[in-house]
Amino acid sequence: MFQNILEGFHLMLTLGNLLAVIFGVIFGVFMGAIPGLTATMGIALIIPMTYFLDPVTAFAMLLGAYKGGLFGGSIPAILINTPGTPAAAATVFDGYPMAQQGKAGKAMGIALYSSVIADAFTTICLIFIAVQLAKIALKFGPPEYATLIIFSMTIVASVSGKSLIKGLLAATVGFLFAIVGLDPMLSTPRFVFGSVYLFDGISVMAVMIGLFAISEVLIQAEQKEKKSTTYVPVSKGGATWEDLKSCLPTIARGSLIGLAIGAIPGIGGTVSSFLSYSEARRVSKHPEKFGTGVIQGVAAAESGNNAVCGGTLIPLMALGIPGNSTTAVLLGAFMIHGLSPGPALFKEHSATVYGIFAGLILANIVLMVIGSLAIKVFSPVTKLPKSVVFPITAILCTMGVYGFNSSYFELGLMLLFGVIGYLMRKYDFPLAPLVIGFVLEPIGERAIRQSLILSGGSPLIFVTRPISAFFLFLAVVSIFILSSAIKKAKSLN
Amino acid sequence: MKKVILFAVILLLVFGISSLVLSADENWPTKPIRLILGSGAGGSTDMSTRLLASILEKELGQPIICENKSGGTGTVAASIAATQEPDGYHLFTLQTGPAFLAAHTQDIPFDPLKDFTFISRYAVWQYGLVVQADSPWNTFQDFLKFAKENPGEISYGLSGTGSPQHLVMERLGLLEEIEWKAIPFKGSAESIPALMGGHVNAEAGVAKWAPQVLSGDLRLLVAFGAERMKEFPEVPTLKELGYDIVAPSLLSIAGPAGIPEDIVERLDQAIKKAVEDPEFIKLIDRLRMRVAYLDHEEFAEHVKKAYKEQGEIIKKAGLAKEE
Repeated sequence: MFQNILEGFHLMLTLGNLLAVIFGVIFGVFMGAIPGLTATMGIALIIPMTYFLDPVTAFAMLLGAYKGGLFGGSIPAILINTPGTPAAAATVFDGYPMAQQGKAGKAMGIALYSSVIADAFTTICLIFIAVQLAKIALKFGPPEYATLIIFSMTIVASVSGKSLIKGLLAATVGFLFAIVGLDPMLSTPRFVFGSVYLFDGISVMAVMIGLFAISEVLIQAEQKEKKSTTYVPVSKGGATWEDLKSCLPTIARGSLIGLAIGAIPGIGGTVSSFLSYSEARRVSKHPEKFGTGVIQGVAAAESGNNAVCGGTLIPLMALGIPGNSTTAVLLGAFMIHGLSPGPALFKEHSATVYGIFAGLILANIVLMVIGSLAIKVFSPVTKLPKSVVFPITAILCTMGVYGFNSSYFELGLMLLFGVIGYLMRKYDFPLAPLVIGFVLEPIGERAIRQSLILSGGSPLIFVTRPISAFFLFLAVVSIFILSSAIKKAKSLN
Repeated sequence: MKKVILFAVILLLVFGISSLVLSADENWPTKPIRLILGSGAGGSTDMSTRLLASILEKELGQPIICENKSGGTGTVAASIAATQEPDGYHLFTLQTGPAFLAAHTQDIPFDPLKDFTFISRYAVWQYGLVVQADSPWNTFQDFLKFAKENPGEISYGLSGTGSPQHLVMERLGLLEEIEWKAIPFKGSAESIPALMGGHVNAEAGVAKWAPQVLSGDLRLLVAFGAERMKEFPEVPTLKELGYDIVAPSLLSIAGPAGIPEDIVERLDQAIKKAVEDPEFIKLIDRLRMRVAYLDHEEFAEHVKKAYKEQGEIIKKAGLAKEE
């Protein structure tokens, strides 16, 4: 094994490959940092460039872009309340309040450290125990997905803020928006009002950017100011060793959650970062402070989404199955190079595989360096006046959402969700539960209906299978703990 | 003398007529061509079409600008294209769904038989039915026999109700009076692991299962295409097994209705050349599709025929939209 990895490094460590990784990471960070553009798109864009490259060089570049994109999404989340990628939505909760308290540098610093550590951890798991983990992931069938999603719904409670009722209402609205589109089982259109643009449902990008970014622009536009003030108090320096130490347990949990969620195909970084955030809040001694600029909140979200990178590569490398849209594009890249990921790849192209593994480790180190530079480059944003930052935010969001699928329709949706987000904030409804409901509904609905077809309509299928029963048990326990916590809080008042 | 005059007249006529025909846009293409892709960036459809476009650029001497408009497996792209100028500068990739299937099952704003100019088909997807390698079914007949004897026992994963692979399975089910459960997944990336984990008994879909079949985890029982697959020459097609069933499949270039005949002709010629390019063939092979060129006339005929056929199958299977 170590012999193989050393050989992989031997193959990997050439000037050309190093440059490829650096280019990939820079490009990925850039794509991630622009709201609307994602690592997936970035990878799709550079695949044609890799046609004529050696496979190891090609994948060094593509995987660099994947990692860079996942981190890059946190930059606008922290600086301008705009998740650069859907997976960075949970980073907004504490990242943006931190920036407003003058701790943007600290927030971005801890985002970077969490990303790099979580990524390093999952890369190591990928190299050593990919096959075993992939086998466990295969045990997830429709009933397991269904109950995992039911359990994940308890996240709503941790991100509802002051009022659980308002949180649940927002989550329900998220559910309703997610129902739009072709029925997952029957392929008949639901609530599309005759528009083919809604066949694939409402774009998650338009929802996220509208809710968080456009609503923020609207709220800022309301404020009358006599003179242009700086956007947020100027940053007082980056994350320290003390900060990192206080986040390490959170990062460890986030890495494990990300690894597991990544290894199960079809769930993805958004759910993972929300779960990690919710878990960090649950174990915290001061859960009520989450959402007001807690450094662990940022660490949880970012470790949760970056760990997904290594996680999704597990089924891809071990079984040839792409776990999310990014790895689906990567699978295409493998095919273009005449390689079929899976057990055969390890046998027939073992040098290439270990070269790619070495590339992953290299990309991790490069991300640390490029990320630190990116933080320095983007930090001055905090010195700009609001009257400059928010109009630019609006333009960037418009460009990004249009660029995502070159669709004016999605721009309209983005504006609509901007107004919805604005009204929700005015009436003190939390935004996050809407996003969670919106992201979880499609996976959960499909899985529940699949399970019921498989069982011939009997709901027993959810309790007779051990993993499925376990998640149901977790869900019941969580609800019990939550309700007793609420009762306690009420009696204290 | 008479002969000379006659010759001159004929010469005049020939030139006169040809210049009349060419006057539509003699120098086409004089500006970049826009090509709408019906799938998102990075997928197999996207990659194959972009390579085709880059070969066509050299052939036609004008840049081709590819725009991804994904949605409804190509339906969004088709409905945008249907309303564009038929000037030869607006083209799109017409795929299986919008060409043959969607109009029968959904309300869509175009009529595939009336609203398009068909230019050429360049490739088809390859479909098949796979099971776990350690399952008791070694041949398709074994599988059918078991399914017949155990009604409602067999479940198979697929991506999307009303998809080509679903229609094939429904037809088989109707023919052989088999009850099996179709479990739609979000894509092969979810239905293949569901099979590998044993949550369904089989998977019907495009050749995304090829790596797992090659690695010995899955077994291909039967191919749904017109021909056996290059990579799995020992596996029979449904046709060879006595079923007159071929999964409908289409990857093609088309445009809005009314593109002048000579532009269609030139485009078609250019595409014909492009599909013979070794780079293109290599990529199509690696993506596990099959190059299957049809010229504009054959292609138009093919759409007409397949549209009608699939419509009948969809009705029989009870998947048609309510009128």
